[in-house]
Amino acid sequence: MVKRELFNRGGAKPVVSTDSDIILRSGTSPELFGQLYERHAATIHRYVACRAGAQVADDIMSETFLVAFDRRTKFDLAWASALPWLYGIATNLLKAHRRVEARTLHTLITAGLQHDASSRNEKTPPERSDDMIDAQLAVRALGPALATMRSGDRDTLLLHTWAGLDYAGIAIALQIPVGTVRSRLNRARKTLQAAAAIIDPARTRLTGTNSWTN
Amino acid sequence: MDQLTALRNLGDTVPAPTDHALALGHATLLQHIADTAATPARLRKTRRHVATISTDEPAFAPARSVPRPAPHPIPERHRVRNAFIALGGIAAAVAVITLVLSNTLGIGGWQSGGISAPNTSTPAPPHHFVLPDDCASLVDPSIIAEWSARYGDAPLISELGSPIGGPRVAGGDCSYGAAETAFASLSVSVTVFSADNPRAASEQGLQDQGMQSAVQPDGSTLYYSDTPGIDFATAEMVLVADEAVISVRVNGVSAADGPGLMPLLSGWLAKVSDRVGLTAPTTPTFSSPQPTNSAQAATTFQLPASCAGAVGTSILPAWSPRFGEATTIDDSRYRALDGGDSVGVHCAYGSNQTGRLLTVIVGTIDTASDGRQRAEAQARLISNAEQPLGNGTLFAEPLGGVGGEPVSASLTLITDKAIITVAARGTEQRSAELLPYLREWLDDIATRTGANS
Repeated sequence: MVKRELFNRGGAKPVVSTDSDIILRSGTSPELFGQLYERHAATIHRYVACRAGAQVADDIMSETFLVAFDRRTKFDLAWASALPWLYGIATNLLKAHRRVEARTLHTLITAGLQHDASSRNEKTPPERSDDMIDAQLAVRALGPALATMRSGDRDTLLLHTWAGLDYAGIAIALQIPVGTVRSRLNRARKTLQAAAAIIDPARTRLTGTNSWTN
Repeated sequence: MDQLTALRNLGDTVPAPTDHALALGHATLLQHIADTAATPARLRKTRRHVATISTDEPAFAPARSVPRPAPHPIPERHRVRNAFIALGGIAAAVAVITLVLSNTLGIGGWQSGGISAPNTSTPAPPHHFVLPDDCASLVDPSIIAEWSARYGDAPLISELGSPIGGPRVAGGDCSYGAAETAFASLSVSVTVFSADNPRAASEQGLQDQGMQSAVQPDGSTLYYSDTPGIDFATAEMVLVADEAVISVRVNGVSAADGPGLMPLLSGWLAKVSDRVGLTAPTTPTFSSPQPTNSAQAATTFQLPASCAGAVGTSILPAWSPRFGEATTIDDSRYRALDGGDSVGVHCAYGSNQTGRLLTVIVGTIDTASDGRQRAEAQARLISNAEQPLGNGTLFAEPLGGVGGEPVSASLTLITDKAIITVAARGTEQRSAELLPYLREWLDDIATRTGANS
């Protein structure tokens, strides 16, 4: 078996190929752990910013890597990527920011409604209204749906949609079986669909005629 | 659009971290690594600090190849400290429960229900001032309904006496609409007089604003204005009584609406007075001017500059009582996508909660020689009925209501110069029943814009 070359020929700065390599080597060369930050900090920040805003994301991004460094001996080196593990740490750190998270979601949805209203100029006028209202219905329904969802279901859903993790990745992040991930996602989707159901319109007055040709 | 896609799209709108934040995080990590690596004692200290953070970090299988420090026994002094923390938690919980119970039972709490203390031996007068707890108690729903019929959606954006993070105050504003963006908003307020805020000061302020006044038989004074004043209210009516001042104020609407709003404000102030136990003021007689821009025939087609010009003043008030909320969903101009030179305004009003939507499109016909023919050919493709109307052609498209699709219907008038579409969707009425409404509104637009002259 060919041993991977972990150091460049200049000899000054070690180069490693996978996250697990970095974590393994950081046992003896702790400063190597900084490479993990360079790889994933922005990604973690983006996920946290979606959930709790940029300001909290700055703090949690930093704290995630401090915790990860201190707990690096617990990382399962069988996994090449540390991203799910980092997402898991960040998700747990987010628990202290539930209130901020609720406000951020509201802000995000408000901005999303405006974004939808302004980003559809490419449509012909008759098509636009229906598309807009459909998009707004979908976006608007997200707030109540996410608010009523169990926190475990919400974490699973948001790791899936905003972090882009697959079932296995979510299982690693949340330390739950893949089957539980599947059932949580299924439940979260149903909650979203139920919230998006259009309210039954109230009965409206009739004109007394069906004629439009007068 | 399904909800998962909508959720993903929301995530895409979040900006990337700043370079400063990334650099700061990197420096913090490197410093932490350096500190940790410096001395074993500091390493233990950092681990203890991190352990106090409620991370519940997932416990993964330990890496066999990486040496792990042995677990540290908890020192005795930490056990004592933890015991104190636990006791503190119990004490805090007891304090919270006590507060909740005292608030629920009204023990030692602020008597928000009234200025006069309850359970006194003095019989209450037939009318006594009562400060409502919340906006739902202060503002009659009919006020919001009448407001919405004119100006659309009116969510509550400010609740009585509850500034976020601050102490509860007596009274405050109930605001409805979108005050923060200066769109149309309605505010109903009540302020209780106190030594720091006497009636005289309040009246002086209103007089300084140049508001007209009318002294009431019971000693209260009515102040009113139908022009934008110092607080930018388009129309305002204020009743100053001995106990408090109550007001109804409209912001963010056209100044031309001011006089027409006064009869409404009179009625609303009377209802608010009744809710707080004050005698409704006798207001001057205000005339209700007719809508200024509806059904005034134009002689040549004039493309409206905005959606306000397209829908006029009668269409949305006619929509809301029947179909509800009429929040602006779209208000934009468009230019033809097919290479032609037609332009127009695209307006959509409705509710993104119910999915009910009214769409109004007013545009010009492509000036190419076959512009009208092409537009009519396109309309025929999506319509199933047409009839001549003046010098134009009217196309109807009754649709929907089957298989879960929202009911929708549309009418399109095409003339030599103009194309007007009025469409509705999401209503309970069958599409054929919608068409008479649409016809009425289309006629209104055609008359005002001169499309069919």
